[in-house]
Amino acid sequence: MGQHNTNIETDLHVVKKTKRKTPELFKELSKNKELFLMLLPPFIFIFINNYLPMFGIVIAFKNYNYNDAFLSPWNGLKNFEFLFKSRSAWIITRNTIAYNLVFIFLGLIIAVTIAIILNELKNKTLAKFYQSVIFLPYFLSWVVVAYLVYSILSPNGFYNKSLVPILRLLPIEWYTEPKYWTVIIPIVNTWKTIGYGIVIYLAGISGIDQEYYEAAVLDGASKFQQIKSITIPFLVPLMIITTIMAIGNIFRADFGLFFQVPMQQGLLKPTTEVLDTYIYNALMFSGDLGMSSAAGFYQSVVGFFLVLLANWSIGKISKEHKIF
Amino acid sequence: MVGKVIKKKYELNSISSKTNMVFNILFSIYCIACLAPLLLIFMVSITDEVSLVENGYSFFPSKISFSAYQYLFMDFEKILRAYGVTIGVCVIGTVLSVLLTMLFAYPISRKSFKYRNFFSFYIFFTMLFQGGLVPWYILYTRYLRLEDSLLALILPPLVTAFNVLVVKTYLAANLPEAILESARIDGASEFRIFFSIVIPLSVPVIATIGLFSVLAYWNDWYLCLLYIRSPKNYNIQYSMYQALRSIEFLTSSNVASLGNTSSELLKVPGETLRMAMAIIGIGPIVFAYPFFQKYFIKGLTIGAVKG
Amino acid sequence: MSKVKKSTCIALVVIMILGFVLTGCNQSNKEVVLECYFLAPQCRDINLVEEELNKILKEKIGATVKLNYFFWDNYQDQQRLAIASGKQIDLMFSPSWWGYSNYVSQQAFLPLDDLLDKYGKDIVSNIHPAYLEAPRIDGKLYAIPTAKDMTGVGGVLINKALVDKYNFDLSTIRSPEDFEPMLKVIKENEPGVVPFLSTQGDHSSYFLQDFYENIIRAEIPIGVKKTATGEPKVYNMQETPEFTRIANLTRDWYKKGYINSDVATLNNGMPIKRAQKAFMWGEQLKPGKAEEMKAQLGYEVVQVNAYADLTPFASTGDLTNSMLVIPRTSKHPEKAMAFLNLMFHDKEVKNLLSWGIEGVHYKKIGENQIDFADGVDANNSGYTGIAQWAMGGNQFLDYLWVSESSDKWEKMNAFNQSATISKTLGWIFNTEPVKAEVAALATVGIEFGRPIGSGIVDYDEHYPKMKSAMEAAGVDKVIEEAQRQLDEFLAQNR
Repeated sequence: MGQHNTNIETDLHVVKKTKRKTPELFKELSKNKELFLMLLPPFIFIFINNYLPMFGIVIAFKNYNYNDAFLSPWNGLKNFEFLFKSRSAWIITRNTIAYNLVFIFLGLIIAVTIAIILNELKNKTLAKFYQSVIFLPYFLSWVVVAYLVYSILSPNGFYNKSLVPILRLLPIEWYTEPKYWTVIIPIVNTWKTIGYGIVIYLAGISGIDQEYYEAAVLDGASKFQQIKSITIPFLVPLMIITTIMAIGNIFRADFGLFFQVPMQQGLLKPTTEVLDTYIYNALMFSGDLGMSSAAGFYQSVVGFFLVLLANWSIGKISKEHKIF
Repeated sequence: MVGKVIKKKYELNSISSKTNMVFNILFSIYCIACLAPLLLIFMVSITDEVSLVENGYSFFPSKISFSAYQYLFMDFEKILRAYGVTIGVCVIGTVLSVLLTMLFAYPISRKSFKYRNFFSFYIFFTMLFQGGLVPWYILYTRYLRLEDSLLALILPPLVTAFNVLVVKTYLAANLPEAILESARIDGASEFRIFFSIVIPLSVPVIATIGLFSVLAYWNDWYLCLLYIRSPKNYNIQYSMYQALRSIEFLTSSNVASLGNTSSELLKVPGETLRMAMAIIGIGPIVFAYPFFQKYFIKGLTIGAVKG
Repeated sequence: MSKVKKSTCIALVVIMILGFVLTGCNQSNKEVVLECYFLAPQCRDINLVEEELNKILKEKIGATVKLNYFFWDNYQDQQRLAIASGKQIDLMFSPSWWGYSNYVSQQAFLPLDDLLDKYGKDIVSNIHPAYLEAPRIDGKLYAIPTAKDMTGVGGVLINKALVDKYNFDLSTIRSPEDFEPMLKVIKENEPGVVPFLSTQGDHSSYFLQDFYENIIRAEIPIGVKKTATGEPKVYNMQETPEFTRIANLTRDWYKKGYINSDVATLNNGMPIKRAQKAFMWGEQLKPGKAEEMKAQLGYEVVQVNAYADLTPFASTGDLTNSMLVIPRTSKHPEKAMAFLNLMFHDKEVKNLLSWGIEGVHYKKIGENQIDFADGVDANNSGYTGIAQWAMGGNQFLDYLWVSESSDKWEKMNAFNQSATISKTLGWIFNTEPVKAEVAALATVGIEFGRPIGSGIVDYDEHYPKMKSAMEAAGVDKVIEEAQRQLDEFLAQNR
């Protein structure tokens, strides 16, 4: 009986609390009803497209069958078993993170270097031309890039049939040797995406006030010293933002790159299988929604904690750059 | 006088002609590396099939033949339809995407809007956590019934957290509250302000996210792979992907439309046909590229400097 | 002005919401349409055939069909996605070698016993009873196999024109090694022609099928030895002497350039075959296979068994390699069964699916014999390249192609009779208890098995890696479970 009372009391408390809150929300709603109305369509869309699937994650813990669908019996952690068999989990986790780290590093170093050099070139028209050409691959789809890579590396491709005879190289079967792909993948990715970074950093450089350079010249600073102590420090915030954004995505791989470019060659899996392709393949080959959801759950959750971790460590280094 | 000295010194201090030369050479090589693969597949697409099998891929075909293109043009309807799908989806998707992104970004960019933090987090959280492929697929097919519908190609990239945050940052920095306030005093509704003040003032950022959208829709093959069943709804990238996987995609109805059985025509080009398909798929983006690039860089520059 | 814009926006909001709601519920038409998925090429005239078929079906079963054709390159993917999507599918090609048992354990298909009793009388009377036993899992029937050859032998099809041109003597061939001299001649003299065409190493399974029956799916090398005597045993096929022999032979051919260089990725060899760019390829053979293929290919081929001294075996796999199922998402299972029933006794329906429309795609040249319609050939027909064995129903109703001998069906019957009945006939491996292991093994199979089977890598070098990956994936547990189920089956059926 007493317990009952407390329940009612807490209920009342909740009611009171919401009552107190409701008018405020209503006031805000009526004051800004047009703004809320604007927000409504995208709000609903995001809820459906992004939030509803989050609830679907329960499938990862179910022995999914098509009869009961979401009401399928619970399965504990059994769906995760296959992920941790045959070292899959380790390989795909390692590949995903390692490639992303390499991409972040290369993207940063190469883009900043090229941007600085482009900026220093004497002939500005030529510099513009270079920039345009380097930017071109960014506009191609991964399907096209797969075609391009294939035309060079296939057994009948440019390398084996045109370069090998001329330069007396050894013919290589690229699509059967996983070891080469640890290099090919970063090259292809850099080739395709670097133009974007260059544009960003060039924009950053153009925002630097010329007076700094003039002052440095008066002080007798060499070009190299100017770059070292003016250009790069000015670019650092931009570099940090770009890197933080990338770290937030470190547990997500570019599906197009890893799905299209190695052309789903089984032998290349040890060095080209990443989380995203693994989840897709799990769905396609096992056809088991529970098991591929389990892989997806692993990605979402571990990825989420990695972002939190990254954010926390950034906070330790410099508070102002924290993401949230 | 001083200026002159500085200028002279500055010039003296710029990179030496020798270094400049070295860089020019390096860049030329890099540019070749960017363009050569495209040229290669073009050359392969105009190589004679038999000589391709014998000599492999080369920039200098021993025998030139346009039969791959002749072949593709015989069934041009398929390619045209794929282009139709791509262009239609691209236009509708981009317009909707820009509109929805603006509708969401504008209120949350207003400091006077009390719940802006809640809504900002609402969109930001989608970057942090996702349901994953399977639940998303089930939602789209089982509950929204979008399988084999072009809407399945349009909806997914419609509102992305990245675009919203770019626009929000831009609006917060470039849209003085004073202008909006005076419009409000004049009795303008928020919708009117949105359409007649906010949108015109945001053209640069709209161009940027618009181009992001165009690129996302134009280069999409993944959504097509997941959701599209009937060939009539294939977009151009997916058609290219199919052609790369199986030459039958290009030959099945082509052979039929020949209506001729001479043994010459039986020699269906294989590899060269794939590459011709790739060239036809790449074509428009290369031609639209100069225009694209200009606005893209403009938008990105604004984003980079302001953001 | 502002009012117009405001109302536009509100309208937009409403439309967006309505759009979401409406797309969810727009199936109000009363007509019964059966969604059917077949393994068939996307021919130009599918719609014509569908129309013609619907005229008959409307009258006979009060329903129409929608034909969805996907071929070797993407049927598997499309089947998976379609099932996962929960869309309406009423009839679907789902052979045992593409994860039938797996789908059953996920309850993707309806049990058919009751439906068969009520609507499938002509199925029961037109099919050998063994067929309806073979696909049973836990005593329940989930698929209706196609009535056709009950067994097959592994072998190859060879382009006849080239055999004649070089005067090859086919009578001396006893085993796959004997193909090699021919391949060498073709390699040296016929540029642009692939001496031996293989798609992802498919020939390995044809060269092994006379010894072992794969019991899970093509990617996973676990099988039962085909035997008429003794106790059947479950093996890791990759470790058997028959397999190593074929793997090494394939590797050797690949290195010599006899096998197409894109063997590892090629998933559909039909266009290459039809363009006469392949000399020889692996195939499951039965009497009259070469003649049957002429209609699909448009030119003559000859068939040669891989092993001259082996007799055919009838096993579960042979009876279940072409089946139609009614998925759980079917809206009209009884109509789907009625349609299936027609495919077993209605010659018109069956031949529409197999050969297209009379007068448009084919013409009759005898009681039971047909040829291309006037002005039509293999290259311009709008309905060709169909693999008749995959179209379900009773294949004995099919018209015979002009190139086929008129006693094909009698020969096929005799062949069926000649087959040795495997002791495992009627047993199907239920993978449910070991599904995590099976899923892990499939990825190993794709990573290592396919490349080894395709000859693009060396068996001796790569098998040890595959072996350790298979062990980690739990191959022993799977073999043990399969053996346990098999022993149980044998004990019950003694």
